Amino acid sequence: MISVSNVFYVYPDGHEAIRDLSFSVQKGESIGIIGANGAGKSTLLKLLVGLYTPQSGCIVIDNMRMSKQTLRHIRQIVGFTFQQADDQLFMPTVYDDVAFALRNDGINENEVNQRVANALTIVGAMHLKDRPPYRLSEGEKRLVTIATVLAMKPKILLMDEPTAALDPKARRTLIHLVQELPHTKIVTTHDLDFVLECCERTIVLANGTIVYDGPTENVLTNEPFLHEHHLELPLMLQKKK
Amino acid sequence: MIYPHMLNIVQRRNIHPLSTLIITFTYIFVVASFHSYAFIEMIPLSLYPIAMIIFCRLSIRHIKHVLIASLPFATVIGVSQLLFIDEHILFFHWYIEARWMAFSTFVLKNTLAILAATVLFLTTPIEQLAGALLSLRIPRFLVIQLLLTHRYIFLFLEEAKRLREAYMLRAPRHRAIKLSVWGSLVGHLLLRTFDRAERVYEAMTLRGFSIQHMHIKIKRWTTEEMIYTYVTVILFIVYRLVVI
Repeated sequence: MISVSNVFYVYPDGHEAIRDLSFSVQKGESIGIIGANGAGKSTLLKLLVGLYTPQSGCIVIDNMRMSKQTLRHIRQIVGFTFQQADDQLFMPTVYDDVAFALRNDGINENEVNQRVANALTIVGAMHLKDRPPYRLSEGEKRLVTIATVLAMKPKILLMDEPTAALDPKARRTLIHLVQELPHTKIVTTHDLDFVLECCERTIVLANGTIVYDGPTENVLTNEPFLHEHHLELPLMLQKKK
Repeated sequence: MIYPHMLNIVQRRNIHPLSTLIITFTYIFVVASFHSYAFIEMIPLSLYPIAMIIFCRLSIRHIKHVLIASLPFATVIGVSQLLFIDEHILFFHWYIEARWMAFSTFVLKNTLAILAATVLFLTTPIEQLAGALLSLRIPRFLVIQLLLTHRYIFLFLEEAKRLREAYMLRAPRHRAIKLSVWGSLVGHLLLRTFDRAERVYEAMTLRGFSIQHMHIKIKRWTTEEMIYTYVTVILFIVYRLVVI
C-alpha cells in the first residue's frame, strides 16, 4: 500500500530531518510512529502526503510513485489530520468543513449531503453539524477533523498526534473510533498507551532514521531501549511505585 | 402589501446576499455623493443602518467597537477640511464657519458608510457575499482573494490576541504594550501568522482546494428579494435626487 525507499529530507535551514528512511506498509495495517521531539515524525507524515518533497528517494502509494502528476490522486486516497485541529477547520460550520473536499471535487449536493452525514455519524458528531468549528471543544474538533477526511473516502489515514490536548473521555472515544476504522492507518504520537491499544506495529524514529520497526508489544515493553530514545513504558505497563 | 414581506425577509436575517450587497453599495454611493455641507440632509439616511440593526438584532457592542476604531481615521482625514476651507455659510438663520460644517459632514458620511458596511458583514456570511460577487460577474480569482484575505485577517487577530495575552500575563503592571517591544512583537506576529496561514492552506490543498474548483454557492434570487432590493435602491436614489 505504501512504500518508502531511501528517502532524505533537509529543511531549507539545513536541518536534516529524514535520513535514508525506508519502510513499507501493507493494506489494513495500523502503525504507530513514535520517537523523541524532533525525531522527524511529523516531517515523515508530511512527506507521505506530498506537502514536502524529498531531496532523494522514492515514495510509492497505492502503486503510484509520488510526483506532481500523481499528487492530486494520491491526496484523494490519503486522509491526513493535523496536529492542531484548528489548522484544519476553517469553514463557518462543521457541515461546510466536512463538505469542503467533496464540493472541491464537484460532487453533487445530494451526494455531498449523504457523505457528510455518513462521515459525521461514524465519528458520532452528527449533532455538531451546524455548529461553528471554533466553538467546539478540543475533543469535538478532533472528531470533526477525522470526519473531514473520512468524507473523502480515503484508503489510508495519517494522523499527527491525534490524542494531544484531549481529556481522558475524549481520548477514549478517539481510541474506540480508531480501532473501529478499517483503513490503513499511520499515527504519530507521544501517547504510548494509544499505540499499544491501536497499533499492532510500531516504528521508532531517532534523528530522522528508523531505529526499530516491528511488533508494538516487543518495543513498548523494552524499557532500556525506550529510555535510550527519550521514551518510557506506557502508563498501563508501569508498576505502581 | 409588499412591506410586511420585506420586513419578514429582513427579520429572518436571511436577506439574499446580492440584495444586501447592492443595497449597501447604493447606500454608500448615495451617502458619498452628497455635497460637503449636507449634514442635515444626510441625517434621514441614518435610518437605514439603524433599522437594519434593530430588525436583524445586531450586536450594538460589535458595531460600537468598529465605529470607535474607525473614528480616529475619519477625524484625522477630516481635519484637512478645517485647514483648507475658509468661508461662511448660511445655516438656518445664522452664518457659521463652513469648515466646521464640512468637517462634521465628512465624519457623518464616514460613520454612515462604516455602519452600512458593518451591517453588510454582520448580516451576510463572507462565503455568501463571495457567491453574490460571482453572480455580479466579478472575476473568480478576485473573489477568492477576498475569501482568503478574510480568513487571514481572522488568523492574524487570533494570533495577535494570544500574543497580547502572553505579554500582559508577564507584564501585569503595564496597561499597554511598551513601545520598545512593538517591533519584536509585530515581527513575531507576522511570522506566526504566515506559518499558521501556510498550515491552513496545506489543509485546504490536501482536501482538493484549487482556485478553479473552489465551490462557492450562489443562492437563487427570489421575486420577493428582488422587489425588496429594487424598492430600497429606488428610495435611496429618489431621496438623493429630491434633496439636492
